[in-house]
Amino acid sequence: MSEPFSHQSYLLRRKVFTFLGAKFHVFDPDGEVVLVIKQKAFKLKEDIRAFADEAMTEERLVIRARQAIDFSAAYDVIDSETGTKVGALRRKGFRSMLRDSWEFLDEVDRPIAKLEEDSMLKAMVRRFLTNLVPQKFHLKCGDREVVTYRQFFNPFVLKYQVDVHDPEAVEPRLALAGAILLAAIEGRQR
Amino acid sequence: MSRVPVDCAHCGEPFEAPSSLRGGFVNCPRCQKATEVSKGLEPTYWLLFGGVLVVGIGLTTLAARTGGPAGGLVVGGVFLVALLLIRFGL
Repeated sequence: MSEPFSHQSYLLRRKVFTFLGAKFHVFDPDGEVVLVIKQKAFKLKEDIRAFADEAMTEERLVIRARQAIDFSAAYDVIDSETGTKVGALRRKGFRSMLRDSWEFLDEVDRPIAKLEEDSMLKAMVRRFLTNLVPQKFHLKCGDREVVTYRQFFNPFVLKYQVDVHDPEAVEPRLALAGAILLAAIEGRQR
Repeated sequence: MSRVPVDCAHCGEPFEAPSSLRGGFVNCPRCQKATEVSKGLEPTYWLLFGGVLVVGIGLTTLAARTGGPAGGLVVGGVFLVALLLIRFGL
């Protein structure tokens, strides 16, 4: 595991003004940029690239959808430095209609953890009444919470706090990919 | 779970991957690098194939009723060639 992914907490922030597509930054607890993420617009098959800095010369992660049209889409996460697949994330299409729900998978698609929105009631309020209620997600291995994703109350800038409680249980690169997909895929639906 | 054959794009090692990984990536057991798993036939392919099949059956039946067996054979033959082209030619 490389140094940038060894922290206990991260902050993901969506850039407000981008011409086409979307851009996100991931900061470490000291405020240093860990990842600069570029999501291209009009891509049939989602292909998100994460770089080490603003120059976007050193690629760190690739998140790529398996199919162009897929209701329960799966996204592979590849470490660009080593060229190996870290794991995958699968969105549970039908369940996510009411409450965002994802499955974290290992390199050969075995489930390792489940990500869910905090409560069904709050999920319904966000969907049918107002999306001003900030989201909170729990990533659990069995009953044990290993990562928490918390959205800040800010109607203008999408920001997530990522707290990694157990880096041994879920690969931190996969945990960060989860935050990126929450912001890029679920955030787009709002 | 069914498995699909994969040839590593980096070292050429042939191996098998779970079919759920179609269109995605799997780590090669030899060099450990991520290599793409062939996505196989897309849903759009099956939509095209099914669409031509349904239209073909409909038009062949219509041609057989109005133009007799010869008409049905001609129209049916055209659609059969189209289906074979979609299945094996595309």
